[in-house]
Amino acid sequence: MWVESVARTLGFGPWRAFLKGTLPQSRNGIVAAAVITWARAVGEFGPVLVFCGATRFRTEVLPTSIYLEVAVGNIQEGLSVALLMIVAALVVLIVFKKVGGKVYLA
Amino acid sequence: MNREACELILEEVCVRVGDFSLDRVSFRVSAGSRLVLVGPPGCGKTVTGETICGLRHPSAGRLLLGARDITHMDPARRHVGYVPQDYVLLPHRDVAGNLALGLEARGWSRARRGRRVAELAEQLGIAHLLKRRVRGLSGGEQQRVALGRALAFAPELLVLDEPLSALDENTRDDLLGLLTHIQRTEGVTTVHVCHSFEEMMLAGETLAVMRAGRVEQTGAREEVLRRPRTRFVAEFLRARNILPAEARSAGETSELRIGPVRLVVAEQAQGKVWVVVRPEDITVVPVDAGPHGRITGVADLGRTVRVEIQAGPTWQASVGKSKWAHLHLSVGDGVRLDVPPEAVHVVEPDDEADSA
Repeated sequence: MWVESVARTLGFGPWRAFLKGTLPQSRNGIVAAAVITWARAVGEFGPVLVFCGATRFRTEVLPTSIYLEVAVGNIQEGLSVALLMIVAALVVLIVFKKVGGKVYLA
Repeated sequence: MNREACELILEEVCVRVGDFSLDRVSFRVSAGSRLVLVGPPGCGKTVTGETICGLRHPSAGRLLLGARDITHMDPARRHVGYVPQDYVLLPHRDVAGNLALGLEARGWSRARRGRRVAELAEQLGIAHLLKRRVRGLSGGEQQRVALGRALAFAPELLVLDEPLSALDENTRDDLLGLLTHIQRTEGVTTVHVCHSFEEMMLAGETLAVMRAGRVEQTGAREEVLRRPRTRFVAEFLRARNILPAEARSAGETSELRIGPVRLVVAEQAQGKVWVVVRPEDITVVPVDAGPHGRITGVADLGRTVRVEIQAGPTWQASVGKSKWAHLHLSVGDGVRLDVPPEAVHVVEPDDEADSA
Protein backbone atom coordinates (compact mmCIF):
# COMPACT_ATOMS: atom_id res chain seq x y z
CA MET A 1 0.00 0.00 0.00
CA TRP A 2 2.75 2.42 0.91
CA VAL A 3 4.72 2.35 -2.31
CA GLU A 4 1.51 3.13 -4.14
CA SER A 5 0.64 5.92 -1.73
CA VAL A 6 4.01 7.60 -2.22
CA ALA A 7 3.69 7.15 -5.99
CA ARG A 8 0.30 8.88 -5.78
CA THR A 9 1.87 11.91 -4.04
CA LEU A 10 4.49 12.03 -6.81
CA GLY A 11 1.76 12.57 -9.38
CA PHE A 12 0.78 9.11 -10.64
CA GLY A 13 -2.86 8.07 -10.99
CA PRO A 14 -4.00 4.89 -9.15
CA TRP A 15 -3.35 2.53 -12.09
CA ARG A 16 0.10 3.94 -12.96
CA ALA A 17 1.02 3.97 -9.26
CA PHE A 18 0.28 0.23 -9.22
CA LEU A 19 2.26 -0.37 -12.43
CA LYS A 20 5.29 1.69 -11.32
CA GLY A 21 5.37 0.68 -7.66
CA THR A 22 3.55 -2.46 -6.61
CA LEU A 23 3.78 -4.60 -9.73
CA PRO A 24 7.59 -4.50 -10.16
CA GLN A 25 8.01 -5.26 -6.45
CA SER A 26 5.64 -8.20 -6.73
CA ARG A 27 7.59 -9.74 -9.62
CA ASN A 28 9.23 -12.48 -7.56
CA GLY A 29 5.93 -13.43 -5.94
CA ILE A 30 4.13 -13.59 -9.28
CA VAL A 31 6.85 -15.79 -10.85
CA ALA A 32 6.86 -18.09 -7.81
CA ALA A 33 3.07 -18.38 -7.89
CA ALA A 34 3.14 -19.26 -11.63
CA VAL A 35 5.79 -21.96 -11.12
CA ILE A 36 3.98 -23.51 -8.16
CA THR A 37 0.63 -23.45 -9.98
CA TRP A 38 2.15 -25.14 -13.05
CA ALA A 39 3.86 -27.84 -10.96
CA ARG A 40 0.64 -28.48 -9.04
CA ALA A 41 -1.40 -28.75 -12.23
CA VAL A 42 1.05 -31.16 -13.88
CA GLY A 43 1.29 -33.16 -10.63
CA GLU A 44 -2.47 -33.58 -10.67
CA PHE A 45 -2.39 -35.21 -14.11
CA GLY A 46 0.92 -37.02 -14.80
CA PRO A 47 1.16 -39.38 -11.78
CA VAL A 48 -2.51 -40.41 -12.08
CA LEU A 49 -1.97 -41.27 -15.76
CA VAL A 50 1.23 -43.23 -15.04
CA PHE A 51 0.08 -45.20 -12.02
CA CYS A 52 -3.66 -45.62 -12.61
CA GLY A 53 -4.08 -45.08 -16.33
CA ALA A 54 -7.06 -43.23 -17.82
CA THR A 55 -9.91 -45.69 -18.12
CA ARG A 56 -13.44 -44.34 -18.52
CA PHE A 57 -15.60 -44.65 -15.38
CA ARG A 58 -12.84 -46.59 -13.57
CA THR A 59 -9.70 -44.50 -13.04
CA GLU A 60 -11.05 -41.31 -14.51
CA VAL A 61 -10.57 -38.05 -12.56
CA LEU A 62 -11.35 -34.56 -13.85
CA PRO A 63 -7.87 -33.83 -15.32
CA THR A 64 -7.68 -37.26 -17.05
CA SER A 65 -11.24 -36.74 -18.22
CA ILE A 66 -10.13 -33.56 -20.04
CA TYR A 67 -7.29 -35.62 -21.55
CA LEU A 68 -9.67 -38.34 -22.73
CA GLU A 69 -12.15 -35.88 -24.26
CA VAL A 70 -9.44 -33.86 -26.05
CA ALA A 71 -7.73 -37.08 -27.27
CA VAL A 72 -10.86 -38.05 -29.24
CA GLY A 73 -11.49 -34.52 -30.49
CA ASN A 74 -14.31 -33.53 -28.11
CA ILE A 75 -12.94 -30.04 -27.46
CA GLN A 76 -16.24 -28.68 -26.14
CA GLU A 77 -16.63 -31.44 -23.54
CA GLY A 78 -12.99 -30.99 -22.55
CA LEU A 79 -13.53 -27.25 -22.05
CA SER A 80 -16.68 -27.89 -20.00
CA VAL A 81 -14.78 -30.12 -17.59
CA ALA A 82 -11.96 -27.52 -17.40
CA LEU A 83 -14.55 -24.86 -16.57
CA LEU A 84 -15.95 -27.10 -13.85
CA MET A 85 -12.48 -27.35 -12.31
CA ILE A 86 -11.97 -23.56 -12.46
CA VAL A 87 -15.31 -23.01 -10.69
CA ALA A 88 -14.39 -25.56 -7.99
CA ALA A 89 -10.99 -23.88 -7.50
CA LEU A 90 -12.62 -20.42 -7.29
CA VAL A 91 -15.13 -21.60 -4.67
CA VAL A 92 -12.32 -23.07 -2.57
CA LEU A 93 -10.27 -19.85 -2.87
CA ILE A 94 -13.22 -17.65 -1.92
CA VAL A 95 -14.01 -19.82 1.11
CA PHE A 96 -10.37 -19.70 2.23
CA LYS A 97 -10.25 -15.95 1.74
CA LYS A 98 -13.43 -15.48 3.82
CA VAL A 99 -12.40 -17.85 6.60
CA GLY A 100 -8.67 -17.28 6.80
CA GLY A 101 -8.15 -13.97 4.98
CA LYS A 102 -8.04 -11.83 8.09
CA VAL A 103 -5.09 -13.77 9.44
CA TYR A 104 -3.03 -13.03 6.35
CA LEU A 105 -4.10 -9.45 5.95
CA ALA A 106 -3.65 -8.40 9.59
CA MET B 1 13.05 25.67 -11.09
CA ASN B 2 11.20 27.48 -8.35
CA ARG B 3 7.48 27.41 -7.91
CA GLU B 4 5.94 30.23 -5.93
CA ALA B 5 5.82 29.42 -2.21
CA CYS B 6 2.33 28.84 -0.84
CA GLU B 7 0.74 29.27 2.54
CA LEU B 8 -0.79 26.15 4.11
CA ILE B 9 -3.87 26.47 6.30
CA LEU B 10 -5.60 23.65 8.18
CA GLU B 11 -9.01 24.61 9.53
CA GLU B 12 -10.64 22.32 12.10
CA VAL B 13 -9.58 19.18 10.24
CA CYS B 14 -11.08 15.91 11.54
CA VAL B 15 -9.86 12.51 10.31
CA ARG B 16 -10.80 9.07 11.54
CA VAL B 17 -8.33 6.16 11.28
CA GLY B 18 -9.63 3.03 13.01
CA ASP B 19 -9.98 3.88 16.70
CA PHE B 20 -7.84 6.99 16.39
CA SER B 21 -9.09 10.36 15.26
CA LEU B 22 -7.70 13.80 14.56
CA ASP B 23 -9.87 16.27 16.38
CA ARG B 24 -10.27 19.73 14.82
CA VAL B 25 -6.62 20.21 13.92
CA SER B 26 -5.89 23.79 12.92
CA PHE B 27 -2.64 25.57 12.11
CA ARG B 28 -1.12 27.85 9.53
CA VAL B 29 2.28 27.70 7.87
CA SER B 30 3.17 30.96 6.13
CA ALA B 31 4.57 30.84 2.60
CA GLY B 32 8.19 29.69 2.47
CA SER B 33 8.48 28.98 6.19
CA ARG B 34 8.89 25.77 8.18
CA LEU B 35 6.55 24.48 10.87
CA VAL B 36 7.74 21.75 13.21
CA LEU B 37 4.84 19.47 14.12
CA VAL B 38 5.91 17.86 17.36
CA GLY B 39 4.39 15.54 19.95
CA PRO B 40 4.78 12.15 21.60
CA PRO B 41 4.46 8.98 19.50
CA GLY B 42 0.86 8.16 18.57
CA CYS B 43 -0.43 11.74 18.88
CA GLY B 44 -1.45 12.02 15.21
CA LYS B 45 1.51 13.84 13.62
CA THR B 46 1.94 11.29 10.84
CA VAL B 47 -1.81 11.14 10.16
CA THR B 48 -1.80 14.94 9.89
CA GLY B 49 1.10 14.77 7.41
CA GLU B 50 -0.67 12.07 5.40
CA THR B 51 -3.87 14.12 5.37
CA ILE B 52 -2.00 17.13 3.99
CA CYS B 53 -0.60 14.87 1.23
CA GLY B 54 -4.07 13.53 0.41
CA LEU B 55 -3.51 9.99 1.67
CA ARG B 56 -6.18 10.36 4.38
CA HIS B 57 -9.59 11.84 3.86
CA PRO B 58 -10.93 14.43 6.31
CA SER B 59 -14.48 13.94 7.56
CA ALA B 60 -14.69 17.65 8.41
CA GLY B 61 -12.65 20.82 8.09
CA ARG B 62 -10.70 22.43 5.26
CA LEU B 63 -7.15 22.38 3.91
CA LEU B 64 -6.00 25.36 1.88
CA LEU B 65 -2.74 25.52 -0.06
CA GLY B 66 -2.21 29.00 -1.44
CA ALA B 67 -5.42 29.90 -3.24
CA ARG B 68 -6.46 26.25 -3.70
CA ASP B 69 -8.83 24.26 -1.52
CA ILE B 70 -7.11 20.86 -1.42
CA THR B 71 -9.40 19.22 1.16
CA HIS B 72 -10.68 16.54 -1.20
CA MET B 73 -8.19 16.95 -4.03
CA ASP B 74 -6.50 13.87 -5.51
CA PRO B 75 -2.96 13.45 -4.07
CA ALA B 76 -1.51 13.41 -7.58
CA ARG B 77 -2.80 16.93 -8.25
CA ARG B 78 -1.73 18.60 -5.00
CA HIS B 79 1.94 19.22 -5.84
CA VAL B 80 2.95 18.27 -2.31
CA GLY B 81 6.33 16.58 -1.89
CA TYR B 82 6.20 13.84 0.74
CA VAL B 83 9.16 12.22 2.47
CA PRO B 84 7.77 9.30 4.50
CA GLN B 85 9.38 8.10 7.70
CA ASP B 86 10.86 4.95 6.17
CA TYR B 87 11.75 6.60 2.82
CA VAL B 88 9.80 4.00 0.73
CA LEU B 89 12.25 4.03 -2.20
CA LEU B 90 11.69 1.66 -5.10
CA PRO B 91 14.27 -1.15 -4.71
CA HIS B 92 14.03 -2.26 -8.34
CA ARG B 93 15.24 1.15 -9.56
CA ASP B 94 18.58 2.88 -9.19
CA VAL B 95 18.97 6.24 -7.45
CA ALA B 96 18.46 8.22 -10.67
CA GLY B 97 15.30 6.20 -11.40
CA ASN B 98 13.93 7.00 -7.96
CA LEU B 99 14.73 10.71 -8.27
CA ALA B 100 12.99 10.89 -11.64
CA LEU B 101 9.68 9.31 -10.55
CA GLY B 102 7.75 12.55 -10.05
CA LEU B 103 9.06 13.86 -13.37
CA GLU B 104 7.94 10.71 -15.20
CA ALA B 105 4.48 11.19 -13.75
CA ARG B 106 4.44 14.66 -15.28
CA GLY B 107 5.48 13.38 -18.69
CA TRP B 108 8.92 15.02 -18.85
CA SER B 109 11.18 13.85 -21.68
CA ARG B 110 14.13 11.58 -20.87
CA ALA B 111 16.68 14.34 -21.60
CA ARG B 112 14.88 16.90 -19.44
CA ARG B 113 14.54 14.38 -16.60
CA GLY B 114 18.25 13.59 -16.82
CA ARG B 115 19.19 17.28 -16.51
CA ARG B 116 16.91 17.83 -13.50
CA VAL B 117 18.10 14.65 -11.77
CA ALA B 118 21.76 15.63 -12.28
CA GLU B 119 21.08 19.10 -10.90
CA LEU B 120 19.28 17.70 -7.84
CA ALA B 121 21.91 15.03 -7.19
CA GLU B 122 24.60 17.73 -7.23
CA GLN B 123 22.61 19.84 -4.79
CA LEU B 124 22.05 16.88 -2.43
CA GLY B 125 25.60 15.55 -2.66
CA ILE B 126 24.58 12.20 -4.18
CA ALA B 127 25.85 12.67 -7.75
CA HIS B 128 28.26 9.74 -7.31
CA LEU B 129 25.36 7.41 -6.35
CA LEU B 130 23.08 7.92 -9.35
CA LYS B 131 23.71 4.47 -10.85
CA ARG B 132 23.57 2.63 -7.52
CA ARG B 133 20.64 0.49 -6.42
CA VAL B 134 18.95 1.89 -3.33
CA ARG B 135 19.29 -1.34 -1.31
CA GLY B 136 22.98 -0.84 -0.52
CA LEU B 137 22.70 2.81 0.49
CA SER B 138 23.17 4.04 4.06
CA GLY B 139 20.27 5.61 5.97
CA GLY B 140 21.54 9.13 5.32
CA GLU B 141 21.97 8.45 1.60
CA GLN B 142 18.49 6.94 1.34
CA GLN B 143 17.09 9.96 3.12
CA ARG B 144 18.76 12.28 0.60
CA VAL B 145 17.30 10.26 -2.28
CA ALA B 146 13.82 10.41 -0.73
CA LEU B 147 14.21 14.16 -0.24
CA GLY B 148 15.42 14.61 -3.81
CA ARG B 149 12.50 12.56 -5.14
CA ALA B 150 10.07 14.84 -3.30
CA LEU B 151 11.83 18.04 -4.43
CA ALA B 152 12.32 17.05 -8.07
CA PHE B 153 9.01 18.41 -9.33
CA ALA B 154 9.35 21.68 -7.33
CA PRO B 155 6.46 21.07 -4.96
CA GLU B 156 4.46 23.91 -3.46
CA LEU B 157 4.74 22.25 -0.06
CA LEU B 158 7.10 19.71 1.47
CA VAL B 159 5.96 17.28 4.19
CA LEU B 160 8.82 15.57 6.04
CA ASP B 161 7.80 12.75 8.38
CA GLU B 162 10.47 12.20 11.02
CA PRO B 163 13.22 12.76 8.45
CA LEU B 164 16.10 12.57 10.92
CA SER B 165 14.95 10.18 13.63
CA ALA B 166 16.67 7.04 12.27
CA LEU B 167 20.03 8.70 11.63
CA ASP B 168 23.17 8.99 13.73
CA GLU B 169 24.05 12.38 15.20
CA ASN B 170 26.60 13.52 12.60
CA THR B 171 24.44 12.49 9.64
CA ARG B 172 21.47 14.16 11.30
CA ASP B 173 23.33 17.47 11.68
CA ASP B 174 24.55 17.31 8.05
CA LEU B 175 21.08 16.58 6.74
CA LEU B 176 19.46 19.25 8.85
CA GLY B 177 21.92 21.80 7.45
CA LEU B 178 21.08 20.57 3.96
CA LEU B 179 17.33 20.76 4.64
CA THR B 180 17.62 24.33 5.89
CA HIS B 181 19.77 25.32 2.91
CA ILE B 182 17.37 23.74 0.41
CA GLN B 183 14.36 25.24 2.09
CA ARG B 184 15.95 28.69 1.79
CA THR B 185 17.11 28.31 -1.80
CA GLU B 186 13.94 26.62 -3.08
CA GLY B 187 11.72 28.72 -0.82
CA VAL B 188 9.38 25.79 -0.26
CA THR B 189 6.86 25.83 2.58
CA THR B 190 7.66 22.89 4.85
CA VAL B 191 5.91 20.82 7.51
CA HIS B 192 8.53 18.93 9.52
CA VAL B 193 7.11 16.16 11.71
CA CYS B 194 9.25 14.98 14.64
CA HIS B 195 8.94 13.58 18.14
CA SER B 196 12.39 14.39 19.45
CA PHE B 197 13.05 17.48 21.54
CA GLU B 198 16.58 17.87 20.14
CA GLU B 199 15.37 17.66 16.54
CA MET B 200 12.62 20.13 17.29
CA MET B 201 15.10 22.63 18.75
CA LEU B 202 17.32 22.34 15.68
CA ALA B 203 14.62 22.14 13.03
CA GLY B 204 12.52 25.25 13.17
CA GLU B 205 11.37 28.52 14.59
CA THR B 206 7.64 27.75 14.60
CA LEU B 207 6.05 24.88 16.52
CA ALA B 208 2.74 23.08 16.67
CA VAL B 209 2.59 20.75 19.66
CA MET B 210 0.14 17.84 19.29
CA ARG B 211 -1.40 15.53 21.81
CA ALA B 212 -3.89 12.70 21.34
CA GLY B 213 -5.14 13.92 17.95
CA ARG B 214 -5.35 17.61 18.86
CA VAL B 215 -3.08 20.60 18.48
CA GLU B 216 -2.30 21.73 22.00
CA GLN B 217 -0.39 24.90 21.14
CA THR B 218 1.13 26.67 18.14
CA GLY B 219 3.48 29.62 17.98
CA ALA B 220 7.06 30.78 17.73
CA ARG B 221 9.41 28.30 19.39
CA GLU B 222 10.73 30.71 22.02
CA GLU B 223 7.21 31.83 22.90
CA VAL B 224 5.97 28.23 23.28
CA LEU B 225 9.02 27.32 25.36
CA ARG B 226 8.63 30.36 27.60
CA ARG B 227 4.86 30.35 27.87
CA PRO B 228 3.53 26.78 27.42
CA ARG B 229 -0.26 26.84 27.44
CA THR B 230 -0.80 23.59 29.32
CA ARG B 231 1.12 21.43 31.71
CA PHE B 232 1.44 18.76 29.02
CA VAL B 233 3.22 21.20 26.69
CA ALA B 234 5.48 22.33 29.55
CA GLU B 235 6.40 18.73 30.34
CA PHE B 236 6.90 17.77 26.70
CA LEU B 237 9.16 20.78 26.16
CA ARG B 238 11.16 19.77 29.21
CA ALA B 239 10.35 22.73 31.41
CA ARG B 240 12.50 22.18 34.52
CA ASN B 241 10.27 23.93 37.03
CA ILE B 242 6.61 22.95 36.78
CA LEU B 243 5.54 23.88 40.28
CA PRO B 244 2.23 23.65 42.18
CA ALA B 245 0.99 27.02 43.40
CA GLU B 246 -1.93 28.62 45.24
CA ALA B 247 -3.34 31.57 43.35
CA ARG B 248 -5.58 34.40 44.50
CA SER B 249 -6.95 36.63 41.82
CA ALA B 250 -6.93 40.38 42.46
CA GLY B 251 -8.29 42.20 39.44
CA GLU B 252 -5.75 42.23 36.62
CA THR B 253 -3.11 40.51 38.72
CA SER B 254 -2.86 37.39 40.87
CA GLU B 255 -0.96 36.61 44.00
CA LEU B 256 0.88 33.31 43.81
CA ARG B 257 2.24 31.20 46.62
CA ILE B 258 4.77 28.64 45.50
CA GLY B 259 5.88 27.02 48.73
CA PRO B 260 7.41 29.88 50.75
CA VAL B 261 7.87 32.11 47.69
CA ARG B 262 5.21 34.78 47.13
CA LEU B 263 4.80 36.69 43.91
CA VAL B 264 2.33 39.01 42.20
CA VAL B 265 2.00 38.22 38.50
CA ALA B 266 0.12 40.01 35.74
CA GLU B 267 -1.95 36.91 34.88
CA GLN B 268 -5.35 35.91 36.17
CA ALA B 269 -5.42 32.71 38.18
CA GLN B 270 -7.43 31.35 41.06
CA GLY B 271 -7.10 28.28 43.30
CA LYS B 272 -4.60 25.46 42.77
CA VAL B 273 -2.61 26.06 39.62
CA TRP B 274 0.69 25.03 38.01
CA VAL B 275 3.35 27.55 37.16
CA VAL B 276 6.40 27.33 34.93
CA VAL B 277 9.65 29.15 35.69
CA ARG B 278 12.78 28.76 33.58
CA PRO B 279 15.85 27.85 35.66
CA GLU B 280 17.93 30.69 34.18
CA ASP B 281 15.35 33.25 35.42
CA ILE B 282 15.83 32.26 39.08
CA THR B 283 18.50 34.06 41.11
CA VAL B 284 19.89 32.20 44.12
CA VAL B 285 20.72 34.56 46.99
CA PRO B 286 22.72 33.29 50.02
CA VAL B 287 21.16 34.31 53.37
CA ASP B 288 21.88 33.55 56.99
CA ALA B 289 18.33 34.03 58.29
CA GLY B 290 14.87 33.42 56.84
CA PRO B 291 15.81 31.29 53.84
CA HIS B 292 13.18 30.09 51.35
CA GLY B 293 14.83 26.68 51.34
CA ARG B 294 18.03 24.69 51.25
CA ILE B 295 20.25 23.48 48.43
CA THR B 296 19.80 19.74 47.93
CA GLY B 297 21.91 19.15 44.84
CA VAL B 298 24.50 20.78 42.60
CA ALA B 299 25.42 19.56 39.11
CA ASP B 300 28.23 21.03 37.02
CA LEU B 301 27.00 21.35 33.41
CA GLY B 302 30.13 22.96 31.97
CA ARG B 303 29.30 26.63 31.47
CA THR B 304 26.53 26.63 34.04
CA VAL B 305 25.72 24.97 37.34
CA ARG B 306 22.32 23.40 37.96
CA VAL B 307 21.25 23.94 41.55
CA GLU B 308 18.36 22.05 43.15
CA ILE B 309 16.65 23.84 46.01
CA GLN B 310 14.02 22.39 48.31
CA ALA B 311 11.70 25.33 48.93
CA GLY B 312 8.23 23.84 49.19
CA PRO B 313 8.52 21.96 45.89
CA THR B 314 11.96 21.27 44.42
CA TRP B 315 13.20 24.15 42.26
CA GLN B 316 15.96 24.04 39.71
CA ALA B 317 18.04 27.13 39.10
CA SER B 318 20.72 27.61 36.48
CA VAL B 319 23.65 29.75 37.59
CA GLY B 320 26.63 30.87 35.52
CA LYS B 321 29.87 29.12 36.49
CA SER B 322 31.77 32.28 37.52
CA LYS B 323 28.81 33.68 39.44
CA TRP B 324 28.43 30.37 41.28
CA ALA B 325 32.09 30.49 42.29
CA HIS B 326 31.49 33.90 43.95
CA LEU B 327 28.43 32.70 45.87
CA HIS B 328 30.43 30.15 47.94
CA LEU B 329 27.39 27.90 48.33
CA SER B 330 27.17 24.15 48.74
CA VAL B 331 24.60 21.43 49.50
CA GLY B 332 22.69 22.12 52.73
CA ASP B 333 23.12 25.92 52.66
CA GLY B 334 20.03 28.11 53.10
CA VAL B 335 19.12 30.42 50.20
CA ARG B 336 16.41 32.82 49.08
CA LEU B 337 15.02 32.60 45.58
CA ASP B 338 14.67 35.82 43.63
CA VAL B 339 12.10 35.25 40.90
CA PRO B 340 11.03 38.17 38.68
CA PRO B 341 7.20 38.05 38.32
CA GLU B 342 7.41 38.33 34.52
CA ALA B 343 9.39 35.06 34.46
CA VAL B 344 6.49 33.14 36.05
CA HIS B 345 3.87 31.70 33.74
CA VAL B 346 0.63 30.05 34.87
CA VAL B 347 -0.30 26.99 32.80
CA GLU B 348 -3.69 25.38 32.34
CA PRO B 349 -4.08 22.18 34.35
CA ASP B 350 -3.71 18.90 32.58
CA ASP B 351 -6.70 16.64 33.29
CA GLU B 352 -4.94 13.27 33.04
CA ALA B 353 -1.76 14.27 34.83
CA ASP B 354 -3.60 16.14 37.57
CA SER B 355 -6.07 13.40 38.34
CA ALA B 356 -3.25 10.83 38.51
